[in-house]
Amino acid sequence: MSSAEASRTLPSSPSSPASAAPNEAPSRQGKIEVSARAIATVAGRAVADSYGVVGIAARRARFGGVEILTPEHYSRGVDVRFEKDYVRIDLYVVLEHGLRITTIAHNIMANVKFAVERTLGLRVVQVNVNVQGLRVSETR
Amino acid sequence: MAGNFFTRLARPRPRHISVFDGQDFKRAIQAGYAWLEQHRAAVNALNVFPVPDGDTGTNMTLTLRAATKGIADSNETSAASVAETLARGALMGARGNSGVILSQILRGFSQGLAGKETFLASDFAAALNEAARMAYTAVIKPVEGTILTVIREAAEGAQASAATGADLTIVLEATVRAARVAVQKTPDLLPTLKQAGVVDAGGQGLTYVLEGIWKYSRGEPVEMTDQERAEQDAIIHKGEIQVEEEFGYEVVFMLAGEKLDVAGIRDTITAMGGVSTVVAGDAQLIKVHTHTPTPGKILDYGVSLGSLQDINIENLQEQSLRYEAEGRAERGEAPSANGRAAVAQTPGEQESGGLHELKDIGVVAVVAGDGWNEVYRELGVSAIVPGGQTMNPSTEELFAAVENCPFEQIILLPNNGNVIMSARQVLQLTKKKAQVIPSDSMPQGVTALLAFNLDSDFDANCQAMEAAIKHVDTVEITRAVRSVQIDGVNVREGDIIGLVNGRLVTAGDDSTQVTRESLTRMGADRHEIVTIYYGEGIEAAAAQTLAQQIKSWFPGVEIEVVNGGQPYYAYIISAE
Repeated sequence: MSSAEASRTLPSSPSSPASAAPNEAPSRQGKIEVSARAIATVAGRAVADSYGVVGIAARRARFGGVEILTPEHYSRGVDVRFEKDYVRIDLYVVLEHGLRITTIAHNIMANVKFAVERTLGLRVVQVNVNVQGLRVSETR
Repeated sequence: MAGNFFTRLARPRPRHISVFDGQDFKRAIQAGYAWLEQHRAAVNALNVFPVPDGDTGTNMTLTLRAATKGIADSNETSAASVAETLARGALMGARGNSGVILSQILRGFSQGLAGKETFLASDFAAALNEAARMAYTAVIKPVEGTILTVIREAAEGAQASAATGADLTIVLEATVRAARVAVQKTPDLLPTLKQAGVVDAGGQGLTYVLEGIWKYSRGEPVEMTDQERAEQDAIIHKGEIQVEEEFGYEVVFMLAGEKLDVAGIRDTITAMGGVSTVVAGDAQLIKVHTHTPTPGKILDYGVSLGSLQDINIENLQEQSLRYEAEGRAERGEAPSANGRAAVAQTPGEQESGGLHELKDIGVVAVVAGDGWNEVYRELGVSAIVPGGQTMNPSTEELFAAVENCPFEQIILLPNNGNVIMSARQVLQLTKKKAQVIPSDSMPQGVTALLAFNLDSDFDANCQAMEAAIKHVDTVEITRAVRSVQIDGVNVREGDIIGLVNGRLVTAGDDSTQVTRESLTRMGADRHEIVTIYYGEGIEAAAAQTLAQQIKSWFPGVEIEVVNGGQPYYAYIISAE
């Protein structure tokens, strides 16, 4: 994950075909472009709905700690990269401690791939899950 | 009333296990696993709309398999330790989304049980509540209408029931009931479920696990019958098995078309008289499954919408009768021995015929205490003569009961050593064919009734009942009314005394100590089931505490607690 890729997807002009190389879905009337940011929103929601995920984290730790994002900033924890006619997605999450991390990660991958492919018709070839932290729930 | 009781005579009394130790919990959760395993395919089938976690049944089953693997060979008697091992196994073996949630539920349950060697109904409810709480913590935005809703409402059901002081079996039943209701509600909470016409798969899977545990606590087998297996598909979308609705023909087909309106088609078929209707799929291809008296109408309607494929029509009438018998037996409403009696009961015409055969033998029992009355009534005695230690019924009273009983063959259960003689005198007076089974305690009478078999004749029944009472040992705990010395035991007035099979064995001022000593003398550890009947003026909670203590003294035995309500005897404890 280079910083170049990270900056490319975020605040860049969403629908500029040259820079974002968005998905093109040909239709009779014209073409539909989907920005990386839109994809990140869909993916972010799928992550947030995944069981075991207690937070979507910013890619970079701030002041030495993990920054948990609010829903409107989910895209800061979701990196979308276009490659030819498919996408790769990198995710940054905080999970609940005490659950099986690998299984949760696989569930997240399946959920994100499913949501993006279903709602946007884009092929997702890779979902990389980066666990930025674990939350230990207090017990009574 | 007699007829009604008689159809139930062959049914073993449902067990009420009050306290679980590690081994009980292990077997209970294994039963939950077995029950889920058998419904795995049905739970999978609920994922009719595309979801990433498409094999909910398989995932939950494999998770629970991994969880139970670690305890399979364990002799651990601490419930907390077993729960911990389970939770760890589930964590390592969690599969799929539903499996992860299940592992979190088991983890919460384990935390709720921390430090408990054994647990009672209230502990179970509290632990289940902790399980629900934990399940909700591990997700950003808990979605209602899923397994989360089901575990939460199941826990609420458990707590409400436990608050009434009910025992574990009853609380488990309330838990299962609440879970079933919650499952039925899931389509109202989650639109995708409603569109697909299904209930939530994970919630349904969890309900099967709870059902298995409940069945274990009742001493029922967790094995599906062939009918249940066959009907599984049809009933899966309803938590409650409503056999009354299974009639006519089962119609299943695939419908291919364009712009099919899944919800609209379901409504139309239901309006056309389709029962248990499941319509699932998308705008191009849907699967229809319904029960109807007029399959032609449904098929015509289907043809009007598109092209039909894989049409399958089956006559349910025959299947349904057998199935109803199973269902009734499962709910404990009728004998399950061969299902014959229950089947005979369904259509009105056969009912009288079925009962006619059965009304030959009546049982008259001498019983004291409200709770005991109920136990005996449940077991189907024809008449109860009030009695007990200080008010032995007279020969006349017994004779009157025998004469008033609408049967020509009568079995008498005196249930007290002092009443056996009076009962025998009745045999000289009555013209009916009568026999006395010399039961000298109420628990013995219960065991005798359990040995009663409708398919056997009078003599065979008398023999079986007489043989059965020899296997029961009884401990009675009461208070001495005067100071005596009997069998080398010194008793002061007011002492707590313990009797084993009517013989005084110990006395003292500590009830717990006397009970323990009596049970030890009786050899409680050689028995499988110990039933505590608590008497008049004893709190249910006190009896539950005693059950827990007995469990810790004799870890191998199953403990039941029953409200006997008998006078004078604080506890009557029977062991089989």
